Amino acid sequence: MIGRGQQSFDAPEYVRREILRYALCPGTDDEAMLSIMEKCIDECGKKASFSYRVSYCVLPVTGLDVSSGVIDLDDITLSSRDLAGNLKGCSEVVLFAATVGPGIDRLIKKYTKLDPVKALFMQAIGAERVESLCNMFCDTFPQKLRPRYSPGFGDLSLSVQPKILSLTNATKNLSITLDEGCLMSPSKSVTAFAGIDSI
Amino acid sequence: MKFKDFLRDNFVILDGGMGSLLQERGLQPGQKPETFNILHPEVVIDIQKAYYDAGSNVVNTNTFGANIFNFPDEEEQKSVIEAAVKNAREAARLSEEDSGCTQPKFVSLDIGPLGQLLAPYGQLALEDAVTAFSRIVQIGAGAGVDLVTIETMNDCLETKAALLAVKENCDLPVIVTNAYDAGGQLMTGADPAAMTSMLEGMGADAVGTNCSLGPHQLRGVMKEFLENASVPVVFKPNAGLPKVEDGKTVYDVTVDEFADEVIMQMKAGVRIVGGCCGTTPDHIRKVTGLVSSLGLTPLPITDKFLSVVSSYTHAVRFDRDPILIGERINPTGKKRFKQALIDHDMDYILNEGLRQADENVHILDVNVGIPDIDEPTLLTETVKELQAVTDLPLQLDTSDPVAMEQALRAYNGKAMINSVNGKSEVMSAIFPLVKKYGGLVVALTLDEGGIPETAQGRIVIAKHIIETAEEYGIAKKDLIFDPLCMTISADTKAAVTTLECVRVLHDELKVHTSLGISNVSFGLPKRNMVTAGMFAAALECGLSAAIMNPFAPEMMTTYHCYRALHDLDSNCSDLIEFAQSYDDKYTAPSVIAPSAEVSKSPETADMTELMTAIVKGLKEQSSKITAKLINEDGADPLTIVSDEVIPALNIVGEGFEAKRMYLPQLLMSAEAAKEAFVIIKERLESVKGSDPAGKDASCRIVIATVKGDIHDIGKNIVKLLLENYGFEVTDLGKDVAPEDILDAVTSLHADVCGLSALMTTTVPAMEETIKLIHEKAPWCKVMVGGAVLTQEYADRIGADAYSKDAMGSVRYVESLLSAGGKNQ
Repeated sequence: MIGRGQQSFDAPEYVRREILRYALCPGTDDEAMLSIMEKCIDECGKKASFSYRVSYCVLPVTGLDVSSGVIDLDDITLSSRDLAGNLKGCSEVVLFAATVGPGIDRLIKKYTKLDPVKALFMQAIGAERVESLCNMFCDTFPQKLRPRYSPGFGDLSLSVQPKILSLTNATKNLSITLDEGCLMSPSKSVTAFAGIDSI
Repeated sequence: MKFKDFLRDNFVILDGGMGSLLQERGLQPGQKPETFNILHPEVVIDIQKAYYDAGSNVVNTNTFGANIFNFPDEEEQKSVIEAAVKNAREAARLSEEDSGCTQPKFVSLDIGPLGQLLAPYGQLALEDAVTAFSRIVQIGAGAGVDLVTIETMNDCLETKAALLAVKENCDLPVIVTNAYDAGGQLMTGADPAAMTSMLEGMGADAVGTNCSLGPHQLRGVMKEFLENASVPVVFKPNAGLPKVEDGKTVYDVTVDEFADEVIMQMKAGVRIVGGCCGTTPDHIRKVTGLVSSLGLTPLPITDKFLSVVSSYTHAVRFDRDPILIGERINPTGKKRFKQALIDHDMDYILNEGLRQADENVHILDVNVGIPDIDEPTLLTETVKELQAVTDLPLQLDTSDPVAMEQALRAYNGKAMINSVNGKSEVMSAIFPLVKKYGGLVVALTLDEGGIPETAQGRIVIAKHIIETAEEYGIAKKDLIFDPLCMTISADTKAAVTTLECVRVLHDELKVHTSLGISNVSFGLPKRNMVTAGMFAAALECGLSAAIMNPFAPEMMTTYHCYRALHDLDSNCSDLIEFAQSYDDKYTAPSVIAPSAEVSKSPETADMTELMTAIVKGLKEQSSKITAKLINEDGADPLTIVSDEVIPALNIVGEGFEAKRMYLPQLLMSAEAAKEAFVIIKERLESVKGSDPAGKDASCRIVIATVKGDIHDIGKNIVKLLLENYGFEVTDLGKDVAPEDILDAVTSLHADVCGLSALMTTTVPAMEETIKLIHEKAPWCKVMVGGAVLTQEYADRIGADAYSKDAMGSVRYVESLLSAGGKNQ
């Protein structure tokens, strides 16, 4: 392992276009929709207590075989042809866990019972928040990172999640935990690999 | 020397980081640090001795993660913890004997988070967490530690579980520290005032913060602790945040910066200090050096005399600013509410809570007591469900001590307890619960002799309650007196007596008061007017809180005026906001102006008002127009359903299928239709016990999210839409076992069973359920849906139908009906 780190960020601007996309109404100009979105954003501001935190480590790529999909990253060995393709030509990889905290989960739960439209928008806002956080984090590296690759994409199984949380120290630093199906709580959390090109 | 005696007059110096030092000494990433207790005791002892040598009074055992989840083998867990205690003791001995360090030394059993989130965020049940922590405490206390440290907890409820475990399994002193973020909150939202109120209530010996940030970023958090805590305050920050620099992990706060900041906090009143991640014996040595070179002496610990309750996010303090306690979660005199309790209609109860929260009450009273109901179970469930959707503190309102204990235990925070009174039997049942779980108790001034007629008689009871509480170790600040508000329609002197009582309790006994204020107007016309008058009068006598109806404009007017007149509303901003929204909120529009509110667009040009409202998803309009159609125009409710509601839903459904409308719009229309149904249902029920909302009871549907899957948004949408179309839907919830689904299908003789799964991992459970239903209930058609499913996948697991979305499920059920394929 090359090193480990932890970072907190200030709240990024809301990207409303993305929220609408996640809420399954991309590009809508329907006033009712837009007004609900604004109400939800407003409530998130008061009640979601978002925190924008990332815990990460930088690993050397010590072995990579695209045809078999075997990837050695110093401390771990993974098997995924798709990730191997994504990391081809990289000397190092940033492995990170990011979360905006569990407050939004409570709002989603609240509206799941009471107002399905708001539940949908709360989901969408949470998704937009954590993706914006990932973008901010990846932008802090001086090198340009490869597009992030997360467990669940392609043939990269969710079963690597425990390993990722352990390597990034995410359970201690960010309180991200896994359920039996390897899904994360808080639900608006992301783990991902982002390759750094060889110089 | 005992730790508590030492703490009374001294600063206590804790240790610093352990994990990063173990890594330097060979701990591999992914390896459990606690295994070093047995594999390399010399390394652990060496690090701990270095802390004692640097001046630490307390060193934590290396047991941060020594819980059952990391050590499923109970024997291994036991040996790891026992070895940890032995190592720390050995480090203390070596420091004393070899290094000649003579400061008092204590060993603390370290307890970190379980690494599992508790419900409602995660899956872990409170009692399972208590059991897990209890085991650590039993082993650690048995191995002979001097105190217990609960640390780095980032969730209020998990902290409560750990503290309960300590209190139930040993008599050792306990320090509790939580991990706060830059916004001054725990991950799950609690601020220092909330944590302090809960932890002090449960008997923590010291409270504070550790980990997460560097010392500078925690200044605000420490200020809040020092303002709120009546017990010693703990400060154990990181050496800043770690980052990767030149291929190495470094922390961004230097030893000197760290020590200066810690010393500053000690000068401000912090009594117990140490370091967390990234700190080393150097940090501790620097701090102890400065303490002695500066000749620093500790400030005394003072009681802040705060009367507070809290939720899992914030504390509510009883002071000059009046506290509103919403009274609506209570079946007394409410037929609809009683029915909801009997039907176990939790959504209705939650809605009553959320509607009051929208009116800005501070606390919600929760009373679910009706005859022949399992009150302990129901109250506890209601508390949990309410706390999943609102962050307001709750007032647990029951006369059943068993219900009170179960609900208090489950409550996340420091609850308000309603109530005790001067009866010995009641006090001896309730006060031990207050002592154990913490709480602010409402004390009614009545006793075995009933309610004294005079103020003086009630004051005598109040004094007796204060004295008895003291015997249980409950301070006056945790009592709030209700001198009982009786109706003036029965006794015109009743209010005078109550007001006099409030005045004496406030001025002379210096205690806080609360009144169930609505009683005053019972039996009178324009009750809210009278109640609000009483409210104003009582506030002038010093009333601290009222259990009241927040939907009454008169009450809210009194509240806002009182605050503005008494300089409690800066710039009168709350009053102005209230006044500005007053007309909209409380003055009902005399006529519905469809052209203004339900604006017509080309696609809605030929529709009726109600259809337009539904298509546009306007809930309030839909409800108002339906009411007008029925009450003023005399329209037949069932004709409204067939001629307006269903056609409107069809327009939206078709728009959605043709991708002209989006899912949220479909949902909004469904919600608007639901509002119309509420009115229609009321009308039908008032006429006869007729089939509500035109439900097609001849087609029964059971739906569930399959076992192992906790995602229910999609399933809920399907349910909503099916109900909209008049089908009778029984929703079994999420994570439902195949046998339970079969049971429901069989007992209801359901025609259709809808199953949802979001994850590939739970599709096998879906397949199993389908097989079971086909085998044991062959008449029932199974339709499936969910993110991972496709038509092909659905065919493979033997489903009768696949719906790609909620409309699809409606269409499928309709097709069954029209094909006559439905079982009769």
